[in-house]
Amino acid sequence: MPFVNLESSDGDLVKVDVDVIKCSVTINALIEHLGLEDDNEVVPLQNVGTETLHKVLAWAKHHKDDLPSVDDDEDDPPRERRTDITTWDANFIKMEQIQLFDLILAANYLDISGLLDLGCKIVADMIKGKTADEIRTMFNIVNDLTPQEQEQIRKENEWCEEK
Amino acid sequence: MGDTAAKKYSLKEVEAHKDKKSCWIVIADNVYDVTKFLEEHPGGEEVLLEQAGKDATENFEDVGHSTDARTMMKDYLVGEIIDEEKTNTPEKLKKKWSGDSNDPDNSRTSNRHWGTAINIMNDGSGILAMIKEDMHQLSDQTDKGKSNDGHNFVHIFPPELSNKLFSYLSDRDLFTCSRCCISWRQVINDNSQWKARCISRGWATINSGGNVHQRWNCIKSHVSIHDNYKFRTSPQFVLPEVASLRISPMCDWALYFRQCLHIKRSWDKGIYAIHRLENLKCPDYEYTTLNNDFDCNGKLLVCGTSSGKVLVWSVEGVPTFLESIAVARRRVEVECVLLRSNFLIVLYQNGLIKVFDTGKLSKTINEDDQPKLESVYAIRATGSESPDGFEFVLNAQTITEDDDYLTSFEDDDNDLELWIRELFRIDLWMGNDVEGSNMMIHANENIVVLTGILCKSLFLWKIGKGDFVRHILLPAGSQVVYQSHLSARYLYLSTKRRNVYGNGNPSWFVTVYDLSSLENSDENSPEINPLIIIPSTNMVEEIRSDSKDARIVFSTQDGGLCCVRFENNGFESLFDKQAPSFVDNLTVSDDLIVYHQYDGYLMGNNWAGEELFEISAHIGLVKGLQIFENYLISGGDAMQLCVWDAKTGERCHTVYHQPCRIQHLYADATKIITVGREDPPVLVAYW
Repeated sequence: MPFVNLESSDGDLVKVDVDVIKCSVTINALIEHLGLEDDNEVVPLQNVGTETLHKVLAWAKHHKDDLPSVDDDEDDPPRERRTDITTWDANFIKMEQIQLFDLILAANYLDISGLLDLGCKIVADMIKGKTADEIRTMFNIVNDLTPQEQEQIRKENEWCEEK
Repeated sequence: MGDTAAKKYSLKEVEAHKDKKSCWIVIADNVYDVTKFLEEHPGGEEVLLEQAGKDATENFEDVGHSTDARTMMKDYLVGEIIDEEKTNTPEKLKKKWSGDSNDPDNSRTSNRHWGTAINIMNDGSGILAMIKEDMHQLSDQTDKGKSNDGHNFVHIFPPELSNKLFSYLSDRDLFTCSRCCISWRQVINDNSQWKARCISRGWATINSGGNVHQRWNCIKSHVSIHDNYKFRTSPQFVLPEVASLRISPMCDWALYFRQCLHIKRSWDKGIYAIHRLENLKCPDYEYTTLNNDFDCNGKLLVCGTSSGKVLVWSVEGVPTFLESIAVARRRVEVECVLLRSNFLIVLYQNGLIKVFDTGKLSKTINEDDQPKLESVYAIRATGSESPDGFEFVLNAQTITEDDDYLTSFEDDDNDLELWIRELFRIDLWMGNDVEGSNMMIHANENIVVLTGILCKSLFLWKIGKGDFVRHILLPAGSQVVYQSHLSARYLYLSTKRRNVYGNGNPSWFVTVYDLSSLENSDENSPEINPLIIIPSTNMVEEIRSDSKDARIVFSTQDGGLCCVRFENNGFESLFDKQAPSFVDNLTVSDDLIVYHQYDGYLMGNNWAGEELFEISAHIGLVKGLQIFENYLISGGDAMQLCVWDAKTGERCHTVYHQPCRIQHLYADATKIITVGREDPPVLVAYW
């Protein structure tokens, strides 16, 4: 079984089964492009910290036997692809906000659609049904809009608010 | 940078302000008094105090501040460093700052800023780590106050990723998010985000262009300046005034999405009000007259009546009665009215054609003393029987208002009737197959075409000038037999040709002319070859083309429906089917062909001839049928108007209490207007 060494941005080396990390389009392409001569090949991941990398690998390991995701039609709106989150995923994704965002960034960088999908769903669920104030509190957003600007945005949206 | 720019300070002066009571910092040779900002600084006041009284340019840039932060800084600017002490700020920094100054084109700087951020990320130069550090500082700071581990992911993610995340939200949640802060509003104001939402709802395709929102210009111009909600005919598609340069204007697709969503709600739910237009100050409305023809372009509504008057309403915003164009000649009815471009074309029963400039009309709307609308030019068309008794020879010439023609018959009823009888004797030959006038007038935005039943020729001229462009002879032996169809590019004529050598039975055709070739042809040779002649098994009645003039569909007298596609100056048959009874009201969009079958059904087909739906729920004959976007609107003898889903044929809603039998129908995004033969126009306003 071939292995590949991933180097996190913190400089740590992690030896990974190629079969596990095949879900990453980025790494897959890299391996195919460069060829994997021996087990000592090192792939530096400058945008992924050690902690996040371990999380990504945990997820990848659990999902390595999933059917390869069918190449979704670009036209397909994400909301129609939505399916329920499995219990394992739900437990896996329980983490601090900043870790979650790091994970989404890593999934995006490594191009792991399943993990990216999961992360986005979780954040979308956090936002769902909240008021603007609640969202600001949740994500620690400074409301930098002046009253006039708020009024402008309110008017932009008012056509579509429920009547 | 404002009037404070003149004030100069030395570094020593700045150094005096280094505590909480007065805290100044220097960034890129500018001096900022951030005392009041200390508590608000997202990175915590300690960070600022650490730099108090010093040049903080390097630290400021290292942390990586957003454009919004840079914009905010301007409020705290107090002056600049004296020239002698100015540091050699690297050129690119200066550029960054000058780029942020009040540059009106810079409304999307936030995105640009992110563009660089992504580049840096791709370079892997570790900006992520820096941002994270920033975020940790932030959380440390907030820990003191309220406990909150929240992080603004929009500041961490590249905008594409934020938008991917936002694409998981419902419309409602997304609207809420756009109200959270400037950076969220800016990231969400993204064409791809809204285009994807439009596509998923079937309001656009992946290939739709970026200027889709212009389709709704008709609505924008509808924006009611009146607060008269009772009579409002349009939703308030008022773009809010741009209150701040920090908020970029709504992107095209976001605008289009909102327009579609709004209209969909009104149409699906049937939120409408009914206005009877004759109730408006309209002294000339006579209940005894019949409405012979009607046209509407969304702004103006015109009715040509049997009394010879032409009534004009404005149906934009609050509907108003504008003018009644006086009778041209006593007892001469109006046959046809057309609103094209900025002109109103009126065809009178006696062959007189008057053309009015409606642009002048709109200007007089608010004046009490309305000047009567004068025609721009007039054309007289006369017909006469040719020697062999089977042809109708058309003559036409431009005339001026003071031409003899206009006065010659003024009070001579006998002469007039005699003349008309002669003109329309052709009716007798055709038996009951042809009703009404022989003269037929068609127009697009540029060209007016005049012809008549059994005519062997046609006239066409430019709408604006009234100059004759051409007199065209049809191919030998051919005559026009039914209504024509005029698109922007082609003229489609229903023609017949007598079979001279055979048994004398006529053969039937659709004869297609390319308008550009007609215009460019030699003025003195009226014999011009048609682009294509498509044979048909029976007399062709209605002809319709799709918006690109690539495909046409036509119905025949015996209920046939044929569809052909143009190809390299030839054509290819797409389908040819037979309806169980007569077909009329042929109406098409680029996805749909709808027609009314005389046994009471509305049939929906696609351009491949496959049946999509069959509506049998309609009561009575259907007289008016129109496709508007994803809706099909039908009205007829039953005093109700039905709105159907044009994809499935399911009923969306019914407009009841129609006071009239519907003869004609117009529909756009905000309204449906119906006119009956005996009944005044009714406006159904959606919002």
